[in-house]
Amino acid sequence: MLSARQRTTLYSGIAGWTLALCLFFPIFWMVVTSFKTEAEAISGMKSLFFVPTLENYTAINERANYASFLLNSIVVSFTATMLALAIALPTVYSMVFFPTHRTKDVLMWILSTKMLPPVGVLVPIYLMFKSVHLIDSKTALIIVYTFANLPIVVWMLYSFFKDVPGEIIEASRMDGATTLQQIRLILFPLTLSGIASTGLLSIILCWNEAFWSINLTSTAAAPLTSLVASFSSPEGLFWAKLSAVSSLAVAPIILFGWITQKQLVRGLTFGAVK
Amino acid sequence: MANITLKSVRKAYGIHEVIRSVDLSINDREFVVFVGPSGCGKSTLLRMIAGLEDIDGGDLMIDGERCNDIPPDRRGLAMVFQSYALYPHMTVEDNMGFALKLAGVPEQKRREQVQTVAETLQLTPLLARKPKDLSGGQRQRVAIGRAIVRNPKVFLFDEPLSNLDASLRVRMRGELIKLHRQLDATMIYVTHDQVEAMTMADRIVVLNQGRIEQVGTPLELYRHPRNIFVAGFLGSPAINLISATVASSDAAGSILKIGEGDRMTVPHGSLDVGSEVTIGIRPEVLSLNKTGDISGTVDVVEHLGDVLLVYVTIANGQTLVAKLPEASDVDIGKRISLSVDTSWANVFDTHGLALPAPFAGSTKTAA
Repeated sequence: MLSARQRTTLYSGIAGWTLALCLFFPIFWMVVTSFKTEAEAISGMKSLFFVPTLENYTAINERANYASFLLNSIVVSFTATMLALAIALPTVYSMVFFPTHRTKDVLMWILSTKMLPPVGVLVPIYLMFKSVHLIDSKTALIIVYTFANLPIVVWMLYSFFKDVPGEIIEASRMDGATTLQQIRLILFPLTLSGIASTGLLSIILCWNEAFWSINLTSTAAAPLTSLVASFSSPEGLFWAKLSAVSSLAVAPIILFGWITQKQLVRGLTFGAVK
Repeated sequence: MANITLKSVRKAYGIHEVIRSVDLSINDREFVVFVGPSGCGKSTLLRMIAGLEDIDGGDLMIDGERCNDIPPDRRGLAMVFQSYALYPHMTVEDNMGFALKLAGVPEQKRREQVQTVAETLQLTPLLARKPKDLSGGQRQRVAIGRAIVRNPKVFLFDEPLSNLDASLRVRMRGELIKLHRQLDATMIYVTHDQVEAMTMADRIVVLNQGRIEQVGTPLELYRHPRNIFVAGFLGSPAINLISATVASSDAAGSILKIGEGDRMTVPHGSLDVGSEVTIGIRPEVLSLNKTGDISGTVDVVEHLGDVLLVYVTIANGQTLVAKLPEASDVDIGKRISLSVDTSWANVFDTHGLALPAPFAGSTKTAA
């Protein structure tokens, strides 16, 4: 017989695993499909057992230069995230530690820009970039991603900075710390995991972004999302190849997230387990 | 040397005035306590002196130098915060040495200075620990140590004991008084606790709604409050404030009528006959007397061990608290008569201001 406590552990364990498997299954299926032939891929459950093949990956490699797409994704995601953090950090510092009675309104206004459907501003933004010859450039994507993610970065940092008692910053002011020293010696060490997880989330959002990358780039600056999209062609869907290219697209970021997940979990639960 | 002078100092948040023209002079090596109810502006005033809040009007002079626009670290002050505000990611030693590090003091000298202060505060065994591994009292001492290391002209304390439990608070109170003597520095201390104010201060500044109500030594304020607010704020149990009417008055004194039957003679002379006044009577100046001035029925008796607190309903319906010897013959429901040492009574007019008493300043001690 199990005690009530053991039973609770068992049930919550089963529930947890079920949920995790449900969330993981599509990715698992995608990776498995990427090693099938196209014929096996569309046959569904009939091809539960198959001989793995690398033909899809070879096909992709023949058709496109994966490395250049990967490089674009990395450059665009990391640069946009760095820029967003560079803008957000001083902004949030002043909003948290020197608030006015309008600070809440500013925060809401920043968030409200996320409520606008991107497609609503596609044409003006496209035309603007066209007039400055930035179509199909990484610069254009970086600019769009930086500002598209800024509201989320600001809100997350705001909640992390808010957890730092104002008196600690004031104490450092009394101790003679300049504004930069207050940020570098007090605020950063106390909010590092929060800043890291904010940055990680921003990188993931940039990496996954497809709407702007498909519309603003063609070849030179196209990131991995554009590469994936190019495989859903008008000639019909090639499930196995699509799976292979998708696996290639998500692999780097999953790996990156996995390595930094300790930071992420700590950051996301910062307020709760402090 | 560290004199602080405030001249018509003001502060407003929008249209809301939190400090309304404060004039105050704090002498070198004085222990001054700002006291008042929450929201009276005492913390704001302290933070203005510290430089953490801008001063909207008037002058802040430290040693004759106008400091309104001088940044906090260059005013020669150190502050101890209510939450201690220790840097959580630094050890005790780094916390205490942070200001010196910023000032560019070489590491060896820094360590020595921190060590010296740590010894006086018995913090030496804790130097390698982080704040989260310290008890409340230890954190408090580190916060004080961090202030001392800077060797400031003036120490500012913002309700530093309010997060401690009662017994520790009493002990730290004693330590702070001792520290003030040792360091020979000017200290400004903010509290809402009148007991802290009475026990620690050389002079108390009573604040209310952004204004100074009265400044004086604890005993001056206790015995000769300028108005009802100050009278009611200091002392526990609080002073009894009894409504009365002037029955007769001449230059030598007045007879006040309380309710229907009771009459009391006070030394306050030349009052308007028939005018309403409030008598302020401290619980300890009342004593049992069969032919006393005030009589009433005992409602509640509280035994404190050494004394009794007796709550009496008097003729006009008000309740009076008397502090009587433990052996006093009082029972609930019984009628008793109390006499008042009237040389210690305060009389306030209808505006709540104290009326002058000819014997004010008498050296006789209260019962």
